[in-house]
Amino acid sequence: MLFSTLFKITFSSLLHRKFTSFLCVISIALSVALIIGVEKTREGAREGFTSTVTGADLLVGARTGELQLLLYSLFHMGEAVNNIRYSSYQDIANHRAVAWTIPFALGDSYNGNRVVGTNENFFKHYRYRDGQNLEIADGREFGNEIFEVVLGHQVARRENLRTGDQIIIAHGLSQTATLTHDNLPFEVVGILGPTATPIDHGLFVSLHAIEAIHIGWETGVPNPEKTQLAKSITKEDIEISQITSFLVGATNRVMTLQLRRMIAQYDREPLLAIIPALTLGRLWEVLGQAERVLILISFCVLIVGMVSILIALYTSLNERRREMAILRSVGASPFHLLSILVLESLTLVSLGLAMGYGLLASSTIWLIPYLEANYSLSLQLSFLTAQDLKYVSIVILFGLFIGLIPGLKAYKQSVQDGLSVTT
Amino acid sequence: MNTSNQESVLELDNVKFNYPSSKKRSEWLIDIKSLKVKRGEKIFIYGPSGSGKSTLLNLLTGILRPNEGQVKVLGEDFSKLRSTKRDHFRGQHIGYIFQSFNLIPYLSVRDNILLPTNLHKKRKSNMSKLGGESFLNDIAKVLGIENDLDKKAYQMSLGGQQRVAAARALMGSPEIIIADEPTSSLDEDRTEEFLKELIALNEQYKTTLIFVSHDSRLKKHFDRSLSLAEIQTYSEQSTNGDRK
Repeated sequence: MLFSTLFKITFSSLLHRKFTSFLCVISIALSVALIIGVEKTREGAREGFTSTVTGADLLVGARTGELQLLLYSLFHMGEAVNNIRYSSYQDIANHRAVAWTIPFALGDSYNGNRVVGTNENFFKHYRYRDGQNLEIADGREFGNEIFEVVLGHQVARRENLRTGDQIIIAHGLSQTATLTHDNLPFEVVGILGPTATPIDHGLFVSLHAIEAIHIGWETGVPNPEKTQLAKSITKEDIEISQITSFLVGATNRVMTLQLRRMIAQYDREPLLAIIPALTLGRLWEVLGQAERVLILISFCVLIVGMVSILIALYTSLNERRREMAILRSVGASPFHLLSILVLESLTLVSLGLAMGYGLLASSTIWLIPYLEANYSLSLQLSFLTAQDLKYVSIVILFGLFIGLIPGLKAYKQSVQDGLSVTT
Repeated sequence: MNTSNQESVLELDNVKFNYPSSKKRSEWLIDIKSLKVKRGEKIFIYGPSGSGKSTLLNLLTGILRPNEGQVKVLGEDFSKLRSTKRDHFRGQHIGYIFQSFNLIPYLSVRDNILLPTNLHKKRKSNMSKLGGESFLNDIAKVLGIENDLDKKAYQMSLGGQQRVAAARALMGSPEIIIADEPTSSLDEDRTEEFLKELIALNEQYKTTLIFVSHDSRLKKHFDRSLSLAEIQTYSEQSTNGDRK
């Protein structure tokens, strides 16, 4: 028995039943695209998530839950319960085991986007993904003038802002904030390049600016006379009193735990220090559950696709009894007939795999800019990764198994019929 | 019994067969004392439906194995061969023509004809010895299907399909051709025509032809005719029994 002939028979047979074969291939293609697509999105989401900040050894803030601290400091979600004293920050920043720090002062917003008060260290030391630093796509960092703002990429894009534009910042985080710092407009001096992290949705100003716009707000509502004072104020006149949290880079990784213990036991105010990478990982474990459900659903879709192949092959068997008898008359053994059906199933599954992959690749190319823009999700166009190969082999094994069912039936049938089918 | 073993292509000896599911275990569906067919012989077996004809054919082609006795084809004892070996042997040495629906519908006429040679090296080399493609064309010409080779099988008429089946059976010159009522779907004129062509080709390639039919009028074309009922109940008298 020459297997090339078996292949030829398989292909001709599938071509003969073009429409059914096509439907089977389509259903496999869709489920494969779905599974691998969900998997890629999952990877992209995890990647984007865990690479929001890299290279920072500690994140320090007021004592609260570890997740809360992470969420409000880096993901712009939720609100800080408490601020910390600027003096505490300076104290820790000057510790000999600390290489650099990036302070964050939060609490104001612009059309729902968070305004982050920070300093030049942010541009110098902030790292995301595999150690990339922030790039200014247009303009410059905020400098000596107080009321200058650098926009995250998406903020500029969505709000249609360019360098030189003036914006008014709202007090508080609510999108429908009624209290605004309308007497103190900021000038856009720079726009950051896209990072596919929450930074894209932030507005960055100096710590001095945050302090300046809150002059006269001591009672919680603006005092018009006092806020006027801020207009003419200079950096030197401003004394920064508090910040929300800060990132710490240690001089030496080994020092991190020691630093952390030191901060936890800081006696002048209660502080919390977390290791961002660890907490990000823990947070992902919680969020990742939803993704697992998606994968499960995708597998169900795959099973439906496989069953469609099973039905197509199985129901064709009766009308193919003749064909089987003919093949046996020219020397095919029942085992050969079994292999023909398994080959048919494998061919359909492989075509489906290839098509699903093509579908996914082409749609990913279309979707990447959209996903990056709207969901800060960075998908990698990396194909046939080890993970992919795992799915590919699962699908092929499924195909083999699905082919075996009608294959064994054909085997049994042909043993029974021999050369005498009277149809 | 003056024929030596070497000369007989097919030899049945005390063959008894019944299906395992059969209720009447005491009676054999097939019970043949002795049957010998010589090389190059054209033999007609008369078998009305229900006479165990298909069972006999399944035994002769090695699909089934007898419960007792020996089925020897070209000196090879089928009862001693494993089923895959018997399948392979059948593909190499036997050409088979069905009553109807002989062709795999989705293959072209040419691919249908070339099935046995594409599946078996021996038949392929036989075919190349006889001129390869031109051998195929010669046979197609005799059968009048030389212009249909690239058609799909399902585009052929019934008579055309039987001719394609005959061409396939002859391809790669197997030693034996077994035809199971190949003319039952044809009208009288076409039957005559088909038989003449088939027999002419058999003589040309010195093939042994075993032709089974319920139409006893056809026996005049053959060297010898037997009735299934006859060979079943009592042993055949001699190999040159009912010779014309």
